Order: sequence, then structure tokens, then C-alpha cells
Amino acid sequence: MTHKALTHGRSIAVVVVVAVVMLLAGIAIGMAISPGGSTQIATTIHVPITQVVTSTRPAQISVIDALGREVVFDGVPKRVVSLAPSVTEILFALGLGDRVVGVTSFCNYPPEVPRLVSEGRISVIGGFWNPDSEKVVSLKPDLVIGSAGTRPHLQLKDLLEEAGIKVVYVYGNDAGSLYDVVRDIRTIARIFGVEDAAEKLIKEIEGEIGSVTITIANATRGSAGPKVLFLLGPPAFGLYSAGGDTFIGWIISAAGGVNIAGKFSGWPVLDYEYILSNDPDIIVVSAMGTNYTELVKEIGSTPLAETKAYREGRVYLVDQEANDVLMRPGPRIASAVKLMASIIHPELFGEPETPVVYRMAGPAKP
Amino acid sequence: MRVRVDGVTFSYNSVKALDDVTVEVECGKVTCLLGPNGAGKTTLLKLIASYIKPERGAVYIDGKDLKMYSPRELARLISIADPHLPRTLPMRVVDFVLTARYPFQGAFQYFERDNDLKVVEEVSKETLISHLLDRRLDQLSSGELQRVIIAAALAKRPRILLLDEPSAFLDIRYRFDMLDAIKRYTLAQRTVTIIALHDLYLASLYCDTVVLLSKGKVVSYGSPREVFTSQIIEEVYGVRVKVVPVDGEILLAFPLPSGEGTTIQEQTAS
Amino acid sequence: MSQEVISGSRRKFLFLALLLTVALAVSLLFSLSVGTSLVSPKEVLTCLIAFECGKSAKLVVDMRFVRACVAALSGAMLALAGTLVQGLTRNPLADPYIIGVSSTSLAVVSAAVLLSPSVLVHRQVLIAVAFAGALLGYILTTTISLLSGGSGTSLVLSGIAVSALFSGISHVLLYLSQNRIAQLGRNYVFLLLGSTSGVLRQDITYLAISLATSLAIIFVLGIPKALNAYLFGELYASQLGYRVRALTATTALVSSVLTGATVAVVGVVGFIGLAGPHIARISAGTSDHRATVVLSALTGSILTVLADALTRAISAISSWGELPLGVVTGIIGAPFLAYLVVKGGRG
Repeated sequence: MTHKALTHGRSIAVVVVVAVVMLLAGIAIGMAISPGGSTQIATTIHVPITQVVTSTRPAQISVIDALGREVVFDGVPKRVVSLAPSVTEILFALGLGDRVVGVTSFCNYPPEVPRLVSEGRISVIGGFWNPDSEKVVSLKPDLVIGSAGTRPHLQLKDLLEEAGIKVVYVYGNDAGSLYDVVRDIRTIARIFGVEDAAEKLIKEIEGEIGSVTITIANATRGSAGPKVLFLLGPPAFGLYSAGGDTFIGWIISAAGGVNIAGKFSGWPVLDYEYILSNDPDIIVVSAMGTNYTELVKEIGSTPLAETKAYREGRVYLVDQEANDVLMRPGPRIASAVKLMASIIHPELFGEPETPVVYRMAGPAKP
Repeated sequence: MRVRVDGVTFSYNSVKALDDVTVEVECGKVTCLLGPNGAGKTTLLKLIASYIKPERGAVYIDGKDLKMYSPRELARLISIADPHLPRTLPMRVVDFVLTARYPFQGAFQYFERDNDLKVVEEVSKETLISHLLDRRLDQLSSGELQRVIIAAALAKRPRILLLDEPSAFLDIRYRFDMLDAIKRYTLAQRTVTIIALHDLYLASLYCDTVVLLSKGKVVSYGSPREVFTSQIIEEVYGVRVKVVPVDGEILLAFPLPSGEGTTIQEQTAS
Repeated sequence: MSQEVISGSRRKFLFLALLLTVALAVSLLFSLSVGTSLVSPKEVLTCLIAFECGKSAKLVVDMRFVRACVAALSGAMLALAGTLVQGLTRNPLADPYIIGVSSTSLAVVSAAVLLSPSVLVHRQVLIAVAFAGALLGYILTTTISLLSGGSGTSLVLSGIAVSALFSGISHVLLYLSQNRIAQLGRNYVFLLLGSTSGVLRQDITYLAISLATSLAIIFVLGIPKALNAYLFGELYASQLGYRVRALTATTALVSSVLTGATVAVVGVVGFIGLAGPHIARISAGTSDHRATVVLSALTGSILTVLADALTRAISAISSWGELPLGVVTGIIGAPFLAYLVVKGGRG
């Protein structure tokens, strides 16, 4: 019996020693291959100069990002990683596409982006909710731009700063209105010294949105617009909507609608009682690549069928590009407003043009 | 009632715990299993309780193989108890003792009936735990707990009573009380009682028959007087003993430590 | 003496059961008068009691009734599952998710969404897939457990292993499915977060059927008594005539069905499965499953109904929207449990 205890004890000791050795080895290997500034990892990314943008920037500037951090730039960044599709769109809209070396798997606009990715000129650094920090760092960027409202982006801050990479946070998903989007465009433009291009872009956007809001104001003469329910996904996913302080909430108001989730902040979960007692005139659902007719049928099997919107057939599903446009607080925000305005006031703007906006086929059958 | 273990062999993971063991036990007598740790005492009890099945051989109750009895019949016939009781969830003494009556309750019966309560009442008196009934099990001292365990074993009014070290955690005085009660019960109810014991002295006091096991085999079998010879004990326990008869019947077997550094004072009792 | 003790217990049990039933009825009534719409409690109560309902009152009462029912049923089921699992593992700290059903459920849902995003369209499909995932968890856990003896301990260990494995798998799957669900509004990990906000009338049926089936199995097979015996060891239960492996497998199955159904319909709601049995044991003064099975189901019901009502109340007066149910159950139940533990500890 004692003999057994000894050998048993010995084998436990062996296991513990092996485990500790493996753990130490793992740590050692990890430290060796993680960039501490000294390890060189070869990259072969050639960025062709498609558009020469003249930079009229003083030698050293500082920007204040959406988190209130002051970030100082000595030179103009040449290699940029974008952690958000809206940021990618801003970069390309400002003519800075040649500096982009890393984007997310969701970044699909403008059309050059997927082309550049497939050619290997731009790398994919992960999803929007889970950027791969090692991949980002391995691209040796001199600037990473993330979204202030997205925790996984914020978590990268310390790691990037330790690796000597500058990181700037724009409002991104935290944007509450056009104003925040404009600020983001200006912040990014300031870093690269392309303020002129930025002002031109902003003027365009404001102009487009302005014409929409004026048309609506003239037509409705200040009376409250139709009530709109916006759902981030099919009801079975959960009744997630956009609160009054989100950019989607702002888009709905700018397009002449009243967001029934306006009293909430952020991305609240609603319930059927609340929705029904607010009786929306229009329902917009982000379809997430599902079957449209089935989705409308499912909506009809929930209490949403009791809403005015469903009874009158004003249920709209947005997918693909239309969905992207609505969900990205970037340069296409004017398109988003126009899209929403077409949904809310088809009598003023005609039916929505951006694909895909699927409208329920006619009023509900009794 | 008569229990016969016939040529039974049982192994745990290729280690033979019992090797061709044959024992016959009669009712109305206290039969003790003795032997060092690992000898197979607990295994044999579990086998008779049908908790484990023999690889070879069989166990017969009144000539009928255990396999032919239904679990319910066996549950009514046999009680097996060891001194350990999990007490992680709070239960009261009376709840515990009443579980022993489950084999006697109807398939869909939810609560106990009056006769169950009557039996528990009797058993509590027999084991002197009546005052403990509404206490929680984890509030009992080890002596009280042992009495409660025995009470539950007896609450079945079993025909076969199997006890594994029932006096393990008791003070000397309570050990005698406990075994007294068991012996009286055995004689009065004519149960088949098999007790696994460590203590040779207690065995010589209370056991009518002793089965001495060593490494899974029956080494000796008979009355304490027959079995407790210094030679056999030394062989089985690996220790020198001096066996001293007291009052003619009772035997005291003193284990003697080996090696220097001890002064042994041998006393020859009259 | 034992007669007095037993009849005393029985009276106490019946009294508690009655008290809790009344408390449940009161909670349901309270729950129906709370909500995010502007219909006044007076209108709601008139509708309920006098059956004079305005159109909006009727709509609102319908909605709230569905949610309250789902809350009551899932609370009862979780507490019941918790009681069974705690008896099976002889561990008062076990909760019903310990047998690994929530992780497998999430993993199977993620896999389904990855293969076909349309799984997200029909709630019925989502529920069915989630439930199937839960049963998968039961099968895996029980199989591994039976291979290593089928005891309560091996069940816990197998459950932990299965949970860990499928937690990892579901994270991977959800990450992959991100590209299908181009969802930038919310992080994907909130799938299956506990909530009664999206429940529909037919969910009541699913839960009721699962609960009824489980109760039938529990009472017909005499599981409360079997667990009482099992509490004292496998040898002890065996010598009372119980087949231990069948007992653990069946009890784990019932617990999985109960837990899996609630996970499928409302998601993962913590605390109830742990606190319901605890509160029942402390107030009954015993772990006798014949009492705790009934009392914990009632307790779990009440806690969940109140939590659901509170969730709606918070949504009505704040800008947060609906909080996850599991968060609110903790807020309500934890102080009460703490009070009971302190009071009981002195005894």
C-alpha cells in the first residue's frame, strides 16, 4: 500500500513538472514571437499609388480623438489599419486608399476594397467585433483607427501603444448624429492633412441631406412624421432596436420619421407591449441575409401583426448594400438618409433605390 | 433463513478481492468477518447485499440464488450499513430513518403510512435515538450518528443484517452498547447477522462464528476460540500475538510490537 | 414521538405550499399590472377581474399574460431542475446548467445559423434547434458519465467537460457566422441571453408540455423518494432497491428536458436553479425531495414572475430598455437568499 502511494506520488510529480515545463516553454515561445519591437517579420505588401494626394500638412500636428485623447503625429502616416467599415469608407472617400494596409472582413465599400484584398495588397485583420491584434501589429502600421463605442477596439489600445503604434478612436458606432460623423471625417482628414478634400466631402453630404430635410419640412409643415420601428434583426433574434442617441435614431428623424424607441439610449431590447402601445406606422427590419417572404410571414405570426404598419403593408426589410448604408456611420450617411426618406415618405422621394429593400407585398390579408 | 456463499470470486480491475470464498451463515447467530485491510471483508458484504455480482460462484438465500430475487425483495430482506454517511444536504434523523421503509411502500405511494411510523418509533427506542429524531444529521456527534445508522438498518426489520465496522468511531463504552444491542436483536429476531470487524477482542466477545479472511481467501472459520490461535493471527496480521483466555471463554489477543525500545510486561491472567 | 415530528412536518409543508401558491397568484396579478405601455393598472385590473376590457387594455393584458406565464413556467422548471441536479450530485451549489446543456444549445444554434441564416427567421425553428442542442448536451454528458460509473460526481465532471468544449466551439462558430450575420449593431455573444421580451403565445405550450411530461416522469417513477435514498450514498440507495445508473440517467434526462426547454424559449437565466432549491430547503427545514420538489418549483416561479415584472417596470421608467432576465433575478433573489442563509446559519 505504501509502495503504491510512492509510485502514485511520483507519477503526480512527473505530471506537475511536465506541465510547468510546458507552461514555461509556451510563455517563452510566445514572448519570442510576439513583437516587442525587436523581432522582424517580413511583409510583402506593395501599395500601388493609385491616387496621389498632396498633403498640405505642417510637420507636427496633434488631434483629439473621440475619447478625448490627444495624439501627436510627427509625420504623415503611410500605413493605416482600419478596424471599422465606416472608417474604411471615410479613408477611401478622402482619397487615402493607397495608405490602407489592413481592413475588417466586413469592409466591402468602395468596390476597390475587396479587389485590393483579393490581390493581397490589403490584409484582412479580423471581424468588426474581434480584430486580430497580432495580425494588426504584424502589418507594421503607423496608425490604427478604431471605433470608440466598440469594446474590443478599446482593448487593443494598450497593446498597440506598447508596440509603438499610434491609435486613434473615432466615434464610429457611438456616433449619435451627422455631427459626430462629420467630426470623424475631419479628425481623419486632419491627421493626413487633407482637410480640403474633407470639407468638399462634408459639403456634399450636408447638401444632399439638406435637400431631403427641406423637402420633408415643406411637405409636412412641421407636423410630426410617421412612427417608425427599427429592428436590428428578425424578431426571433430579439427585439433589438436603435435608441434616440444612435446614428440610426438620428437618420430616422432626419428622414422625417419618429423613432418609437427614441426614449431609450444605445441599443435597447424592446417588448411587444411597448411596440403595440406605440403602434408604429412603418417597420424597418435588418434582414441579415434571411429569406424575405419567410421573414414577413414570421413577423405576421408575432404581435407585430397587430401594428398599423403590418396591417397597411408598410413593412420593409433592408439587406446587403441597403443594410450596410444604414448601419455605417460614414460618408454614405446621406444615402442612408435618402434611403430612409424613401421608405418613410415614398410620396415625396419615390420608392427606395438602393438594393435590397424588400417591401411586404401589399397590405395584410384579413 | 440461511445464507450460503458458494465459491465466489470477485476482482476490482484485475486485482482479486475475493478468491473462491465459501461461507455458510445461519440465522440467530452473529457471524463476524475479520481480517486486515484489503482482505475482502467489505467486498464480501457488498456481494451478499447484491451490490456487486460475483465473477464466479453464487450467493444463495434459503437455497435460491440471489439473481432470482427481485431488487424489491432483496431490499426488504437485506440491510447493509457502513459508518459513513454523506451529509452535504441537510436532512433530519427521522427523514433518514424513514427512507429505510421505502421498500415496503406502494409504487405510487408518496407519503409514509402509520405502520411505517410505528416501526420507526420502535426502532428509535431500541437504538436510543428517540430524542434525536428532529435533529439534523449534521448536528449529531459521531456516536449519535452511528446509532442512527443502525436504526435505519433495523428499520427495515431485515432478515439479513450486514454491518461494516459499526463501532468504528465510537468510544469504548458505546462499542459495547452497540454490539450488545445488535446481538440481542439477532437473537430475538433470528436474523442472519454478519459484521465486519477490526477488533479481535470485540469479536471474541460478541461473535458466535468468525470468518478470518486474508488476501481474499478464507483462512480460518469457526468459533473465536478455534480461530484465534497465535499462529493463525500472526500469519494473517503479520504481528506477534499473545492469546490469553479470560474467565474461561473470552480471549484476549494482545498484539506485541517487535524490535527493541519497548519493554513488554507480560501478565498471565488467572 | 416520530408521529408528532412527521405530522408537524407535513403540516408545515402543506402550509408552505399553500402560502407559496397564494404568493404566486399575487405575483401574477402584480405582474399583469406592470408594463411599458400607458394603460393604467386600474384599467388592467378591471379587465382581469370584471372582464370589462377596453381594446388597448385587452391587448396589453394578453401580452403581459403571455410573458407572466412563460416566466412562471420557466422559473418552476429551472428550480425543479436545480433540485434534481442538487440531489443527484449531493451538492447544494449545483445549478441545472452544470450538465452542460446551455453550451451545447448555443453551439448547435450557432452551427445552424452558420449553415443557414434563415434559422433566425422562424422562432419555432430556433426554439427547436436550441432544444435539440440541449438534448445533445444531455446525451454527451450522460454517455461520458455512464462510461465512468454513472455516479453523481462523474455526471458533474462530464458536464463541466462538455460545457467547456462546446463553449469554445460555439465561440468559434459564432465568429465564423459573423460573416453571414452582417450585424454591426450588437456583438454576437448575446444570442441566448435570457429574456422574456420576445416570447409568443405558443411558447407557453412548449414549456407546459415539457413541464407536464417531466412532472409525470418524476412522480410516476418516484424520483423524489429515490433521490432521498440516493442522498445517503449509492450503496444505501442500492440496498433500498434502486437501480443507481438508471436513476442518475433518468434524473439527468428530466433535468435536461426542463433546462433545455427554458434555454430554448427564454435563454440562459441564472440564479433561479440555484436559489429556488436552497430557499425551499431552508424554509422546509429538510432536504426531503418530496417537499423540496414542490416548494422549489413554486419559489422559482414566484422569483421569475417578479423578475419579469421588474424588468418591464425598469424598461418603462428608464432609458435602458429590457435588461437580461438573469441579471434581474439575481437582484431580487440574492438579498432574500442571503437573509435566509444568515438566519439558517444560526440554527
